[in-house]
Amino acid sequence: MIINLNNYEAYFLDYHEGSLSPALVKELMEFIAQNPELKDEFESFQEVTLNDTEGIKFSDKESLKKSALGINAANFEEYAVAHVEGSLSPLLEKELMTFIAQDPGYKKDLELFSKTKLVPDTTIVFEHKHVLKRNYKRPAAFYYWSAAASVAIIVASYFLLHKNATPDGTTITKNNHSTDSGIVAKQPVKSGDTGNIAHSVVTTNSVNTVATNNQVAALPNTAKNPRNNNPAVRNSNNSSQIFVVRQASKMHILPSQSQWTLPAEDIASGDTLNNETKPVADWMTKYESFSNAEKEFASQEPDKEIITEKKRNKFFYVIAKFTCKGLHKITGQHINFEKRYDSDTTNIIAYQLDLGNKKINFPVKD
Amino acid sequence: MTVDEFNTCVDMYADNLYRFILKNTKDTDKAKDIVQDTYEKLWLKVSDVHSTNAKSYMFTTAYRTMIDRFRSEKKQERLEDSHMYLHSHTKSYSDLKEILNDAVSKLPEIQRSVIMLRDYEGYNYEEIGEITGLNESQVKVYIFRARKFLKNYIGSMEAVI
Repeated sequence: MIINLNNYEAYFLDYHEGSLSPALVKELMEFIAQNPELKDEFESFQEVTLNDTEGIKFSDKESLKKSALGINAANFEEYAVAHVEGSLSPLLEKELMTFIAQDPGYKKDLELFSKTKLVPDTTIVFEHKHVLKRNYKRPAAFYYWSAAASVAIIVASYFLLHKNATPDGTTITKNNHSTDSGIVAKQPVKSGDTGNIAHSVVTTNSVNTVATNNQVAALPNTAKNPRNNNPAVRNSNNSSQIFVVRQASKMHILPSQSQWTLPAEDIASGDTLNNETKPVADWMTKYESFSNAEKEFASQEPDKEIITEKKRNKFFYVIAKFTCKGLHKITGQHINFEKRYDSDTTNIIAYQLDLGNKKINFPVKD
Repeated sequence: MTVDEFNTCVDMYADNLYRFILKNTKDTDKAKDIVQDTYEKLWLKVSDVHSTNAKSYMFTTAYRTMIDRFRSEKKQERLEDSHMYLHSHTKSYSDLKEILNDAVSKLPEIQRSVIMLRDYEGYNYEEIGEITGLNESQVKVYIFRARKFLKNYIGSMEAVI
């Protein structure tokens, strides 16, 4: 027998549901006969069966049915809200209009729904927008000009670094009368042709003085230079000739005045210079001693020149470096100025302008 | 989002945000505070938030900040749906706008928020759901209830006028 006290409930249930085979039904009856205490439980299963649903009916089925239009009194509000929301299709809009046309009460309701559309009150504004904004100003044109100026400084620095970077610290020669020492003698010029002289600084008649930059060795007529209050060559009406001596950048204190002093009568006197017959070549010949003396002086103190050159390089490097930092701050772009070293000698071989996607090298001349 | 875009967001959305919060809180100082709070939070996320999503981000942040404050202060009136029959009609109105403003102020907070986001800002149901943390069906239900309440309120006020 497969039915026992541990599984008899399952057979009871199957019996009442009619799913037991005749053999099992016979076996189940024998089991109950052997266990009469289970007979009441077997019979109680019959009472559980639900079969009293016949009289329960939904009485308002009609209210659930849809009208031919799809819109009715029960769902009108949904359609009305959808109308206000703008989510009705053209077909349903048409249906809704047809529906409300049948009853003026719905028309009034639809008007009221339409009035529920909120419109923002634009008079309400947040008056402290400046507090919310971040302190950032778009770079004005001024900043771009500043940037351009800074670039110009960098470029100018480069040229300044190399323009005068010859070993002897000099110089630029501009005409055929130049000498190796960088002293230039301009052609004598007639009065009225003073374009190169107008702002020249005038030396005195003293022959043992060499002024920096533009020098007028001697001049017949002097006037106050409006820029520096020094006596300067003016555009005079007489026919005097003058000689201009230029030196590139610096004053050299020569070791001995005697080596380069000119005969006073040749340059100090305006009368001497007014002599139109005196050729320039003669004048330059007399300055040979000056040229040679300066060469000798330069060769005696090479270390000073090198030190000066290094100092100048360092100065311009610092200027360029700070300029690039300023540009970086203003524009927000990657701009840097760096030294580049030789890997073997560790000497500076170039200065590099790093623009992020482009790098420009300024080689250092040996 | 760049700094420029952030500042553009200030110009474009600060008023909308302020109106939205002010209508909910009915307190100008609190509304200003929440607007400032919101922009502070946006600034902290300025590198993560794209300018096209900034408005949605700000409304979400502002709404949640506002709800947090309501909860912490425990001052928010918890209105249930459709209290229109409890309203006294002693207040006088000059036009529909005043009636509507009054009706909106009487809406439950969540209904007021969703209908303002819908009408003032033109958000769709999904976007409103994202801002308020509701699903789309809930948003629709709240909007429906809000409009029904407003319609009944306006109808009753017009009858009084």
